[in-house]
Amino acid sequence: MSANRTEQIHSYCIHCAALCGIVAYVKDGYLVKVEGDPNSDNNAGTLCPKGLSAKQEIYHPGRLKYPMKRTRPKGDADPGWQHISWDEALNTMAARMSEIKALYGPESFFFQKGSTGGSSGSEWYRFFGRLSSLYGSPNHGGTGHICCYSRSCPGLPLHFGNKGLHPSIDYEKTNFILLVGYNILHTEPPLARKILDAQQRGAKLVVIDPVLAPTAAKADIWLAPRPGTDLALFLAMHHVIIHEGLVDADFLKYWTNAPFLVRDDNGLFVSSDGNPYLVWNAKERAPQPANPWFPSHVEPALNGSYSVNGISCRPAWQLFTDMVEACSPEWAEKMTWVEAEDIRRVARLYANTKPASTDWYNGLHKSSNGYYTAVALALLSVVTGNWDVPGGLSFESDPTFKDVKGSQHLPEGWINNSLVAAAGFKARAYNKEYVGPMNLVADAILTGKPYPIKGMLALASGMGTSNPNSKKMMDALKQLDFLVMGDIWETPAMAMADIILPCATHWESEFVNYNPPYLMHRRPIVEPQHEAWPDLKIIFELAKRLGFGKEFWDGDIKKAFNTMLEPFKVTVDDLDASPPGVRYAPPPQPYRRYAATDEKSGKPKGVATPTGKLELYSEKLKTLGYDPLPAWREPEPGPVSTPDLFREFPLILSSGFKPMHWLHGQLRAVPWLRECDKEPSVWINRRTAQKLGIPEGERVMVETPKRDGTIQGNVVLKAVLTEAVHPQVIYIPYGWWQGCDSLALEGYGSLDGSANVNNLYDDSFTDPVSGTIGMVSYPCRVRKE
Amino acid sequence: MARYGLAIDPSRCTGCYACIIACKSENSTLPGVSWIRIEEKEEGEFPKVSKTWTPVLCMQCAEMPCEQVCPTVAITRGEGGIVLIDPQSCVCDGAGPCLSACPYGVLQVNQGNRPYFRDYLTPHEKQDYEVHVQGAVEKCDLCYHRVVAGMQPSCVQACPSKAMLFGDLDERAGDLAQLVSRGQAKPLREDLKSDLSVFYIDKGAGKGSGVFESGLPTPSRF
Repeated sequence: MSANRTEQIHSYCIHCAALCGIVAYVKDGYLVKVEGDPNSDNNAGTLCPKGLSAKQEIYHPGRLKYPMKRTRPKGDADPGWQHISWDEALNTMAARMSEIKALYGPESFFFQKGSTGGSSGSEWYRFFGRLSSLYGSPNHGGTGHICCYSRSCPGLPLHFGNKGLHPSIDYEKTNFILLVGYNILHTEPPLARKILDAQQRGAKLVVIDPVLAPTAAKADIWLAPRPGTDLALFLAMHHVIIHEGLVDADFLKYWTNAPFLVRDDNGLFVSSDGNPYLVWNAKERAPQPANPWFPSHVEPALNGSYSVNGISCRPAWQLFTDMVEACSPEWAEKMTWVEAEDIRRVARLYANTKPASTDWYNGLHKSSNGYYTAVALALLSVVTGNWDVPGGLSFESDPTFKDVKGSQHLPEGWINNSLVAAAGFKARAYNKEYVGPMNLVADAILTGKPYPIKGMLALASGMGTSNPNSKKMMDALKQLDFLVMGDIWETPAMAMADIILPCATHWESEFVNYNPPYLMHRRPIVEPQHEAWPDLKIIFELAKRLGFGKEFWDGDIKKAFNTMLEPFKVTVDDLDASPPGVRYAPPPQPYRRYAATDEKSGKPKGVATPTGKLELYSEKLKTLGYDPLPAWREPEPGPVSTPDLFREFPLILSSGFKPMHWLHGQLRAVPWLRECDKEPSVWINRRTAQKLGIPEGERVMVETPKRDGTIQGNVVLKAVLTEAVHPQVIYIPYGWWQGCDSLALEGYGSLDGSANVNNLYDDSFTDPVSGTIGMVSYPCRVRKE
Repeated sequence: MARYGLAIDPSRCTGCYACIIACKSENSTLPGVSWIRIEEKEEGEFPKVSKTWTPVLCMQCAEMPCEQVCPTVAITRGEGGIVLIDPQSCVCDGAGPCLSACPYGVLQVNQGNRPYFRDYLTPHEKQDYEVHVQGAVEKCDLCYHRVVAGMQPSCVQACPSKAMLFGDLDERAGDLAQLVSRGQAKPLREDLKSDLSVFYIDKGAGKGSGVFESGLPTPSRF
């Protein structure tokens, strides 16, 4: 096609967090096509199926077109949607929100943000948080509990002090890539070529995943543990590393709390004379303060048993060593079904290759033992000296945009008044991490405890399908006095809404961001279709009507962007004046941050943990009532932890990896994408299917129990027979609810008989530390429909 | 003279469909028609199981088995040896002997300019559907309009894995010609002697050759 009369707009795609630079070709106001921008450092001209299908998404006739209100009672099959103006929608929202706040308090209104992509929630969430803070509600829900709590939201702050920073691996330098529950070749498209390049140059790729996902298929070594038992595998790797003397002892002595003495009687650190921490100086055979730094002539002991002022104690490393002593590869083989020799081989290869990186994502995370699993995995980097070094497990730079989340507007004591704190997720509350698991709100609505939740504004959140226990969520949403949901598409949960709002795609909205090498003002490549508004505009206009105009830059989004840009000393006008943006080179990624020196004092800064060191042993967790070490615990539910449930539901249901063409529950309506992947399915091992008499392509029902053994729910899916899963494991791709009119495929709904895997989960099996939900090791049975 | 071709490295393909959607977006092919497909193959028994993906498209054969059976002389070779089908001359009304003559099954009949969305032509469909003719046979032309303008085919550019390399086989010192002459890139089916322009990296012929690292410069014209 001719590009002569076509305008080229440089922007970036924010369907996912990878941020690929794009060039949009626009002719007479309509989008001709989107391509990867060859000048982008991230994606170098490449682009994934989601970004490439922009024009089918934008011009899709099935999108929500205008604001609507219900005219019939909730529970009616037909809500009687009536087209209303944006003014009416926003004025009603402001009035009802003020009323609920006056009657029940601000905490009774819940602000829910869903996906980071599609409508670019990873950008506008800051202003959504600002709105909830100004309103005064500590209940700001997200998806951390089913996504990335143990990686980057907030990460593992108690142990390693890296709150909110994402792992950022230098794939050009690493010689070993250990990936766990992370289909990175598909979920981070711009990293695919870099990882394959690393492998081609000789770096080993080891993937741990119960399913042969595309990334696992490219691995030099693929280990497929019983779902939810990765912790046992990592403990066995520690066992091998310690037994074979592959530990970086100097690193442990000087940069971690491994030598800190722990009291045998109460598990707390030994303190003395105002010194909160002591180590045993092997040179002088005497205790030595560690505050947290000690002189270099000190030789702290890592092992042994000592007595200090009559208190018997041992270094934290000794306790860790004692714990993993029982976790031999042979023991782990029983737990994980992975052969002991394979575990040994991977442990040796990992510990003997430098630098070695690790990374993980929500496959590891969606388990009731996910928190400690991530700790044990991250500690592999620590004990081998691969922490925060080039080519090891390193982390991105601190964010540089000015913080506009407005947390300072929250009332005093907000954290104690949050659903997160009330639910007992003390570590989460300790981190002042107030983005709460959205399942908590369902309980609060249904029980009125700890207090009633009466209203909710949910943007870009398919709450009817995206949270485990969809039935409970739908029942809860029905009980709300006032529910507003905004999205690009009409989702199943909107059946319970009072007002629904049509949101713009990210292609039709704006923001400012760093898309290397440019600081960019991402402008709409086309105007929003129909009456859709960008989420950001909804937030700003609602804020004005709630009386927060002044704190929202008098409704001027450009001014808000300028505030965000202040640290860069540029304005939106500067960025617009030189498309595609202003070149910006961030400071080089810092390494060895644990050893950084404070310029004033000349002393090490330490990391943001209670001890100032990387923590192998968390005294803070101990005082909060948790295990200070990542000791083995079975996933719940599971064939070992809940054997009664597995008597009638003998298969293990796992759900997880995301293919590149889908973004969680989004985009199923886009025909180009749907032609590639038409039907929701369940992967069943060939041998198991044969026993069950299920042929390829057969429609089957998958059924699961609640905690008490009664039926939780069912789904109906197409059977895909494969050897990519263990004979006792079935795998269900998630995110299926939407129809695709073009291919004559109807929607599936979200409850029984649907294709929604979240209908199968009782959400009460939670990780006690983080609140994440056990979803990878769930009992189920399969039969022909 | 130039002879345009591809080398595809299945060991880098992750089956992500970016090539398929890039082709859709660039060429506005009709519902149900795709000029490139990905063949997925699973082998072995859990946990000793492998999965591979192979993109398959028109191989641009010099001997053109499709052309040899075409009753209406609709198939010709354009610049760079690219095999082209003229939709106006492709008028054998669906008898399509070419469809079965193609050893790779990459020819498809345009069943009609049906929009993707019921009763609604999107703005880009309105413009692009003019080049598609109902009843005509279609296939990949290596994005002819792009390569004659000095660009790469859209699938090659989009591929997040950089599993495809576009180049000129007649440029002896070029990366593509080198891969072929060193025997590292071979035809998909070596039993067929059809002198084609699309090759597949054979890892058995030299693993870790590094030729496909995405840092590799693409030929200067592209």
